[in-house]
Parts: sequence; structure tokens; C-alpha cells
Amino acid sequence: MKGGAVEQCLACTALPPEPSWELLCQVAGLDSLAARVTGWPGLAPPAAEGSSSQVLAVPDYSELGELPPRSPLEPVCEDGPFGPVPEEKKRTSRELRELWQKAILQQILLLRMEKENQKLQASENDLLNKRLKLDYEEITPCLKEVTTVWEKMLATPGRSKIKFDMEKMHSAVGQGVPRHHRGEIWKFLAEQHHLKHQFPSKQQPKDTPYKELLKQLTSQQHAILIDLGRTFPTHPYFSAQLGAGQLSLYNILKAYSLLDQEVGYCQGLSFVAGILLLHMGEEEAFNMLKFLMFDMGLRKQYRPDMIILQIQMYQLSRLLHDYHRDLYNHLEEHEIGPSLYAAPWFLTVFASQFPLGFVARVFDMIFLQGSEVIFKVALSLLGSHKPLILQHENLETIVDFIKSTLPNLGLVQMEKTISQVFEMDISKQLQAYEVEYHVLQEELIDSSPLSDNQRMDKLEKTNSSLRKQNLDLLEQLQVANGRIQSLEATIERLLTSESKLKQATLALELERSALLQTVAQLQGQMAELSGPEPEHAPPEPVGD
Amino acid sequence: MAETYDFLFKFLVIGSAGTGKSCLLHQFIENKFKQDSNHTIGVEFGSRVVNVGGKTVKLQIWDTAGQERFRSVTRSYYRGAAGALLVYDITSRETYNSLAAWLTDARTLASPNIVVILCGNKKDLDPEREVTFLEASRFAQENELMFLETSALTGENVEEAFLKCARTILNKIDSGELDPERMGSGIQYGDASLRQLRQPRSAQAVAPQPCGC
Repeated sequence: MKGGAVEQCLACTALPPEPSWELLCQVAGLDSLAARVTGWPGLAPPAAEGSSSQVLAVPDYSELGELPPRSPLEPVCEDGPFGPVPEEKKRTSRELRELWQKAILQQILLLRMEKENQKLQASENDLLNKRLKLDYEEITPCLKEVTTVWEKMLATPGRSKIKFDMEKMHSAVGQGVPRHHRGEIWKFLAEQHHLKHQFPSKQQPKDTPYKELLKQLTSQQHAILIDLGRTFPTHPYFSAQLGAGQLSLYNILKAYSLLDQEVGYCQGLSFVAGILLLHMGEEEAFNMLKFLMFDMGLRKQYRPDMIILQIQMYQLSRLLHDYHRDLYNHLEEHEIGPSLYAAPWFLTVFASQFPLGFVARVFDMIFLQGSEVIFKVALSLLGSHKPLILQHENLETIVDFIKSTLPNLGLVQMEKTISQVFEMDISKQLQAYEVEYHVLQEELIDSSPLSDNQRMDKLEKTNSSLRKQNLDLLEQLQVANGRIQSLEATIERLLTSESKLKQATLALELERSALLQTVAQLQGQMAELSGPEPEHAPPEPVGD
Repeated sequence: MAETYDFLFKFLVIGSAGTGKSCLLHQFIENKFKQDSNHTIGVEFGSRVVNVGGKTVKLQIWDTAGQERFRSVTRSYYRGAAGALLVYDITSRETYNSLAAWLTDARTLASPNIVVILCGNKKDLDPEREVTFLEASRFAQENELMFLETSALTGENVEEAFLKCARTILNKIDSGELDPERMGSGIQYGDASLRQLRQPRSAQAVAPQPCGC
């Protein structure tokens, strides 16, 4: 197959008739050959042909520049048929020259073949990678009609400037996301989010271009490197040591750690980046990671103090208490808190344990609704496995079940989970439980029998964290103020344009009534005129 | 499920990221090297019943994430551990340098009497060694730790590390130095009627704080 393709390529890429002599040698990397050739009387390169303009005019030659000097396919020069050439003095210089030319042309052909081969291989690898990346079982298989709906939305011209109906997107995501459009759809959902939230209320990262970030060095290099081989270690795209998958993963994580110095690199992030990479190119995946972190609220749980993660664990246990009291009691009885099983669920968005098709669906929903989705999925999963969890009667078997058995849920179960998640709304509870956590913690500090020193330490810590909170709030306030100002400006603009429009309407109405009057007048005149008209103009006789 | 054993010991595996903690645990429990493993996020655990000095002991081993920031999450699982494997990577000085911090954590959060064995892991990568056996054994001596160089890949010294730690705890029980009855000793009698080993309620609103001892 490959050979055939190369031959075809050669057939259609004609070589230039009279390439420059030095150029040929140079291109072919045969410097020594060039030296020998020029040193041989009668074999001097054709004079005055190698002017630079001509060099530039030679098509395609520049791309041969970086090739290895010699093709491994066939030995040339010294050991080849050209070695003895200088000895055969019987040949005329013209013949020799032709021979040399032929040799060089062949060498170039060989090199070109190799180059083409490499290209083919590369594109084959690309295709293979693409296949590898999307080789997972799809949950909620997408019906043709739904795919068409998506394709229509994606293909809308200027779609990044048009606000689509939220309901429509919601129902489309609910009905399924075709695997091969998934990356594009995530980008689309992100665009739509930006359109609807033009004044971001959350902290935004600096806008350093990806390529700039890649040039810098990160202090997190070691931490990232040791996790590359431990992220989707069995997935063919990521398993090759320093293969394409691992390299892209490294680049993204490095760039992110530079962009967001506070978070830097946190274990778990590599799985999130990995899922994105399976669906799009490196730079796009980086942008989407940025989006998930800053706009969809994933970022806070990775901060170095990990307080948010602990709050999330508290929130989850409270939700369990609300929705599945018996399960909550069972787990409490064996002293199993969510951090024992749910920390990876949150930090990798289920990617470290669950089937990719399921994880992809969770991502679909996160792109639509934000990070709350993780709670919903966790709650739904625990709820639907309640009878099985209740059957286990000790810490080890319960945790083992939740960690190893539960993630291998069947397709039906997965679909059920996803559709349940679509119906849930737990934002109020989440808010309440976060406040509750802080209150409880304060009480704890107040009531704990501590020495003065420890108390002081704690108060100092609280103080500094409050100060930080204060700063955060100030920042938020600034952002909010900016937003208010711009909104006020918008309102003012709208008001002026409204009054202008009103005036215009008024003027138009006046004009209209004036025109109506004129029409009426004209009609009156017409009527006056048409009274005597028939007498003036009798019907013409028909025919000759 | 009806396991019988004389004692149950709670063990910790701690140390910096990428030193092979999970692989040591896996090698000890499954007797093979864990290829293709994810990095540990949060806490994992495993258990195995072993025979030490004529007693059957169930080791319940808690394996923790190594990245610095995860300490705030994993700390709550330290409470009441009887033994610990403190792991560094002999090919990485950085992981060796952070041993003191890990040790302090273990002694303040688990118990001052916790029996710790220092494990210089990745012994099979000797050509890339950055930490000599000698300096590590000096560190161990200064801090009253046992010390072994291990290889989770070949299995060398892995079993020994766990057993040595268990044996020392048993000796301390025999000599009366450790009292299994004491709360938070990390030791339980293996009576079937006994309740589970105490674990922290991580879901509590309580951020893990030093217990003040």
C-alpha cells in the first residue's frame, strides 16, 4: 500500500529539468560528493545557473533540506556503483557528467521517497491516534436526528457570535452527543457560555498565549513528569512512554501550571486534561481546561490548601444524609467518609476509575451546567447502588465495592444515572451546607480545649484566611463594580437609543398621518376627476 | 469474611510523590509488581493477614497520596496508626530531603510511639542512585527508625519491611511498652466480636487538626 502510494507521488511530482549543480548536491546532503565533483576536470557544475532566484524557483526543494544525508534504503557513493567512477577514465566527460547527474537525481528521488513515506506514516499515525482516542463505548448512543441537530448548530455561520436557545442546547445534550463531534460540541458550549456571561463574575486568568507559555519553564516539571506514565496508563494513546499522548499531556499541564501559579499542578488534573486531549488538539484542549477551571468552577478544589475539597466532601455526606439516610447511616457505622472514595471522583471528574464513555457524558453535562454535576453524579451513583452497598458489612469490602465494582457499571445503569442527573437541582443545598461547614468549624475552634498558644495559632490562621477571603471578596467587588458600571453604561445607551427611537417613531407617525391625509386628498381629487371622465374617454372600438 | 487473627495493626505508607508507595503495598498484598497504575488520589488501603512470631496479625495498610497538598486530606487517616513505612526513592534526593517533614507528621498525628521503618525504594535502579545506603542508615539511626532498601519491582525486602515493622510492634506489646487497650494505639485484638478499628470520620466538619498531644 505504502509503496504504491509513494510511486504515485513520484510520478506526479516531476523534477525540474536542469537543477543547479551545487544545489542538487547540497540538497541531497552530498557535500563530499559536491567537492569531489567540482574537483574533477570537465565535471564542473554548469556555470551561472545557480543564481538565487532560480534556486527559489525550484519547486519543493527546500523541504528536502533537513533530511539525513543518505538513504538507508540503498548504499550510495563510496561503496555504491559510483565509487569506481573516477578510475574509469575511458568514459568521456560528458558521459561521466550524465552518470553523476543520474546518481544525484536518484539520490534525491530516494530522499524524497523517504520524506513522502514519513509524511504518509505521520498522517497514518494521526488517523490511528484519532481512532485510538475515540475508541470508547458510547453512552446514550446518538440518534441520527440528534446528530443532525448538532451538525446544524455547529455549522451555523458565525456561530461564536450567535446566542442559541438554552433549552434547545439542554435537550440536545440530554438526547446525546455524537462521539466524533464531541470535542467541537464542548468548544461550542464554551462559546455559548462566554456569550451569555460577557461580564465574568469569576476571576479570570491572564491571557498569555499558549505558545508563549510553552516556551517557559515550570517549577512543577518534576511533579508533572512523574504522573505522565500514571495517567490513563492502559489507554493506547497515553501508554507509550513519551509518545504523542504523554507529550501533549505534559505540554498542557506545564502551560497550565504557568498560567495559574496558585494552583500550579495538582494530581488529578492530568486526568481532566487527558479526557480533553482525547477529543481535540493540544491547544484547544488547553483552552478548554482553562474554561473548565475558571468558568465552570473546577479550579477551587485544586488549590494548595485543599479546603474546598474538604468542604465538598462534607457537602456530599450531607446530601447523602438528605437523600439516602439508610446508606448514610451504614457508611457512618463503618466510619467511611466520602474522602475515602469520592476524592478521586471530584479531582479527576470520574476519569481515573470509570469507563471513558461515561466520563465523556459527565463532561458533556459539566460543559453545560458546571462543576455541580459531579455532586449529582456521585449522589446518583451511590443511590442506585445502595442495595449492593448495604449488603457489605465491613469497611474493607464496602470501600472495595465502591472503588472497584461500582465504576464498572453497565450501560443501562450509566444511562439511568445520566438522565437522573439531568433532573436534579441541588444548588440550594450545596450553598447551605457550605455555610454550615464554616459555622461548624468556627464553633469547633471556640469550644475546643486548647492551650493559649494553640488557640492563638488557630486564630492567627483564621485571621490570615479571613484576610485572604477579604482580598478575594474585594477583588470580586471590583469585578462586580466594573460590571455594574458597564451595565449602567449599557442601560444609558439603551435609554438614549430608546428615546431616539421614540422620537423617530413620533416623527414617522406624523409623517404617516400627513401622508394619509395627502392620500385622502388625492383620492378626493381622483373621485372628483373620475366623475366626468367616461364622457371624455369613450371605449375604443375593438378589432379593425 | 470470617478471618481469624490474634491482632489487627493499622499501618501507614507515607512519603513523597512517585516514590512507589502504592507499588510497595501492591507487591506486599498481591506478590507482584503493579504495572500501569494510576497515581494515588486521596487514600487507598489494602490488608493482608501474616504470621509473625507464631501470631497471626492482620495488617490494615493505608496508602496515601504523596503530593504535598494532599497532606491536608490524608492527615485525618493517620490517627491511631501503629506502624508506618516511610518511603523515599533512592534515585531522587528530593524525596529523601523531605523525610523529616513526613516523620514529624507521623509522630504528631498518628502517635509518638508509632513504629516507623524507613524504606529506600527502587533499589533495582542502583545505577541512578542519588542517596547512599550509608547516609540513609545514619538518618534512620538518628531518628530511631528501622531501615531497609526495597524494590517494589523485584519484590526485594518488601515483605521484610512490613514484617519487620509488625514484629517490632509485637515485641513492644510483649514487653509492655505498647498497650493494645489504649485508645488510638492502632492495635486491636482479633476477637471476631471486636468492632472495627477506629478510623477517622473524614466527613465530619472537622478539618484534621493535631490532637493536641
